[in-house]
Amino acid sequence: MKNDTSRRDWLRYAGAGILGAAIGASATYGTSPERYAERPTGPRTKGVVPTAPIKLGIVSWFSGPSAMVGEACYNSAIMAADAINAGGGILGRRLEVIKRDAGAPDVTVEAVRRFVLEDKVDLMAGDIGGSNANAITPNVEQLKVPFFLQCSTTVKMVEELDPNPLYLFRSGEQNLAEPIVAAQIISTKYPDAKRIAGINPDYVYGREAMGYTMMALGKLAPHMESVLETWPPLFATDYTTHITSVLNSKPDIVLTACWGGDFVTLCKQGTAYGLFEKTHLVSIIGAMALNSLTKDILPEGVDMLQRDYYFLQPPHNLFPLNKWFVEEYHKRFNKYPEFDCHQMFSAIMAYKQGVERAYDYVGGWPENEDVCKAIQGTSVVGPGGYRAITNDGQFLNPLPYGTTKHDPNYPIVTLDPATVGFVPVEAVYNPKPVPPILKYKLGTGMTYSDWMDSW
Amino acid sequence: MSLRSEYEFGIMALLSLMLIIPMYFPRYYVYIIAVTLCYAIYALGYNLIFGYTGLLSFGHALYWGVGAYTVAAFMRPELGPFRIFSMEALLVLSVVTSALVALAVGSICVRYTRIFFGLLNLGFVMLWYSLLLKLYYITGGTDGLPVYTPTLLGQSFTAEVFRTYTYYYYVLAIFLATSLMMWRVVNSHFGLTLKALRENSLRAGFVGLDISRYRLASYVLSGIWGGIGGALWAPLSGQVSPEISTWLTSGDIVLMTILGGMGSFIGPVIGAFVFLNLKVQIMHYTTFWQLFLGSAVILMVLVLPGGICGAASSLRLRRTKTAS
Amino acid sequence: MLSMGFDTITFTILNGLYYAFSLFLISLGLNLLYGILRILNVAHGGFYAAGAFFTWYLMKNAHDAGLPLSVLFVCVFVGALLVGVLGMILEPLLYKRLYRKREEYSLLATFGLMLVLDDVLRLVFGSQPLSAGYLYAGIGSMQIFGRPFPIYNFVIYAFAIGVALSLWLLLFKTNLGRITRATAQDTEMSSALGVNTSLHYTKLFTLAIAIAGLGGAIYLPATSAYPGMGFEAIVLSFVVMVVGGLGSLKGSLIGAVIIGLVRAFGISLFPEFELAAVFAILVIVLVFRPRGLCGRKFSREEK
Repeated sequence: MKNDTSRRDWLRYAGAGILGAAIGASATYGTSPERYAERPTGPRTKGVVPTAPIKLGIVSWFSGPSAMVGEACYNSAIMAADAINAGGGILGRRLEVIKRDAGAPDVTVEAVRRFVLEDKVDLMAGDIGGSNANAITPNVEQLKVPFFLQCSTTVKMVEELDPNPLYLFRSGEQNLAEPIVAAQIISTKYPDAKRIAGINPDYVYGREAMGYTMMALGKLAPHMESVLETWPPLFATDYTTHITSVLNSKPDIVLTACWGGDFVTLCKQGTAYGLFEKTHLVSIIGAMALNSLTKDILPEGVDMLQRDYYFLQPPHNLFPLNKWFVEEYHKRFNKYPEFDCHQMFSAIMAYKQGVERAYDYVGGWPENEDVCKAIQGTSVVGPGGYRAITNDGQFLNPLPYGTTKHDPNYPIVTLDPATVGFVPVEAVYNPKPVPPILKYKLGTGMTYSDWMDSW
Repeated sequence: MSLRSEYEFGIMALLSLMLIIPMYFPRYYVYIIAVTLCYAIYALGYNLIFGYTGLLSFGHALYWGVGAYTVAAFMRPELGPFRIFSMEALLVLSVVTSALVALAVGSICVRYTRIFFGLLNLGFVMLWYSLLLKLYYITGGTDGLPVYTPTLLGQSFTAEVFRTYTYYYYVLAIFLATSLMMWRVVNSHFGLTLKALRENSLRAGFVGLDISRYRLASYVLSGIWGGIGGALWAPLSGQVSPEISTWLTSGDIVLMTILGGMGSFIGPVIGAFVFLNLKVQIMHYTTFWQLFLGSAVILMVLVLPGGICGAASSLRLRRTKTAS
Repeated sequence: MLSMGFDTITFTILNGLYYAFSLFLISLGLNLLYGILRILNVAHGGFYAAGAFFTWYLMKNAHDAGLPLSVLFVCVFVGALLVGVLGMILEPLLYKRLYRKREEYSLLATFGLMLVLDDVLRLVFGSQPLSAGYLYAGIGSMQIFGRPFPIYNFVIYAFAIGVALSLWLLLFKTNLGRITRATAQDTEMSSALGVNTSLHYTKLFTLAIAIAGLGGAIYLPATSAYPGMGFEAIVLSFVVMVVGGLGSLKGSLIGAVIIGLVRAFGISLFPEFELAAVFAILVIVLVFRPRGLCGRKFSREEK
């Protein structure tokens, strides 16, 4: 019978399979530690440094509406690499930069794994967004390669997913920081406002931004309440309906955590539908789209938080590194650096510092673990200034903010220097005792006494 | 050598190769092949409804998603002491959930055929997708849900060993088991009936067959296989997100089946291997994999509707003809 | 709903129509192709995207050359025309061979073409979103109930209605239209009577594709062209097709308007809903009235 024959065949196959499995099982090679060593574990000779280049893997958005983010990350990475290589590299080794595209969380996780397992990178960096960041966090610790996360530091990651990281460095401020600052700005600048609305992308970052801002406002200005929150999906292209329904609810202030291409579209459509005329817009992270924010789509008077770097601060006449950085970036790429660029640059510099420190300590080329330990608890200087790095790998950044202005010297929308302020890190995490936001106008010649008079 | 023993020899050689892969291949490729095996199970299931029953569904990724999200959901830290780490239990749960969903969706879909069947399935997968996106607090929205390392037969492993060694054998074993089951299904009375339905449903109805019931059974089985594939894949990936079940990813499985050759048993498995590995290789050189795979599909439809297996069997036919 | 003021309702309706007409323009061509040629053209989204990209290229260069707004407006038509030409080239190469095949095969082939089109556009135009909003900003906004509303939206409304009317006139009031409809009903008879059916198919195909390109072109000033836009567009058009009835031109208008309005009111009243509402409508229609609102009844072979 036909059925019997196939069953016999299958039994034969199964038998062969079991035999094969026995062969396989006898080779315990699969679980031996040598198989999982990242590098050949031989004796470490003092003073021996490999000559092969150091590979830096950049994972970020290189396609789609927020391709500008990947571009910024990659450009600043190669700028940093060129500067380092011109100075002799890291302990004589060149720094090479390769890139991969992020996408949905499972795609990004795979990209990170491929970087480590196939491309054998020494470190990784990039702005990948909160969803992806949450996804890769446990993998980073398992893969044992330092990852400098730009910008996408979610509260969930800090509190739940990886509270004691070794390999993960967060060069951007935590998602908690901006909502608190936004709440401070709203409560001090618009004390009479009552109705708050929100247009935020529907994913972890948008939810955290809006949620924590309202929570902070609940303490700082309890008379304000949220009248309408709309949640367009991330990378939506049509905000007109959202804008209309938000305006229908007649808010005093509209809070938005849209970033990248989303913010550009929101501004474009908002201009046409009167979003800026009818209400005050507070943008938490629109500054990421710096180079696309032209004067026809973003009017003056909009409050924008700058995450942790605004390219005109520290003032170029006072801080040569920033002057060099902005001019060099503009010369090479015909764009102005946004905060991802500063974060990337500082991260790479921190890595270089960490390697050099660890080398001094260890006496040979350090393992990733040593490098990470040598970075934690130190500080690094970037175009935006000095940044302390905590023992859990968090870069501490003050938060610049300001109101938009159309300056004829720049093709893009910049901030009105009179409104630019910094919220120091301590005040971010401790808002109540701090008096109303004080802004000393650096480099403008104002005297201390005049400034104090102005409080 | 006769046809039969050629076939046997080929299969045994392949099997032995599969067994020693984790020892000699780089870790990343072991992972890729394990993923491919999951897709192969999914493809086998899809072939039942597409190749054998003749219904084109553009929403099969629904079951992949249901299986994957079931695994992720039962591992959530929020469940506390009720978390399930046993892969066996998770697989059973995935079978149950995908069967239930397939029963519900299928009972609506099998009333129709051809384009409507395809569009109805598309509607359901996109409905599932948009619910996954919107119910942020249940499904994690765009972020998705993390998937932790489960235990295999009660043993737990470190994540690295799991993903690149032990889990591979587990997936291979389940693949073999499910292939054997599917082989029995398609070569049974049931399978032959499905083929009859595909060829001429009108006549089948006249003969007295309850068309809808057979189609529904076929649909539910294919949904279950899809759920198993997705459930097995989830711990490999470590993360499930809504993007895994859209109409586009449903399109991928259709492509795999066409590529390998629908209507043959092993076709979709070959299609899955070729498609995924081709994609990985193409992506080494360029990000424009859609260009190549899309062109391949167009060529397939115009020139080689039997897919790889069809081409292979017509080649063999020609060989045996000239031989005799 | 009753708590919504008159101005709110007006704005919501206007927004709904804005969204609806983009769906209408794609699904119109889709229904033409399915109703007459029996091809479900998944690649239609790709032609929509091509319209947006081609128009972007034309507008950007026109603007940089300092040409006035009227010229930019003409770019929209030129872009659509170019897409029509693209269709004309692809028809004999690919689509002609699909007419005889089973519907599922043509679905698969056009799906493959969609992938190819998306990648080719990405190859040629890059991965960044491309915007050319000069027309949108240039025409400006008018005040409705005290709030600005872009005048360009009315251009879109006028356009869409114009296309609908022209197509209706073409198909029902001209000789060409009559012959085309006859060919659709009975190809053999038509060619027996001396009609060059092949040429007619090509013409019809080009028209349908050009309409899709027009859809992309007319919306470009208001949004931007970005990779992957074709996929989004096509899946929503499927919903419209099903709701309106596969193959029905009237249905594509009605279906699009329903989907657009439901989405607009949904976002206003239940902001959490959005996309799920659209697909829920799809499923409901497929379950309770699968032939759609204006579709023809099922034939025996389709059950």
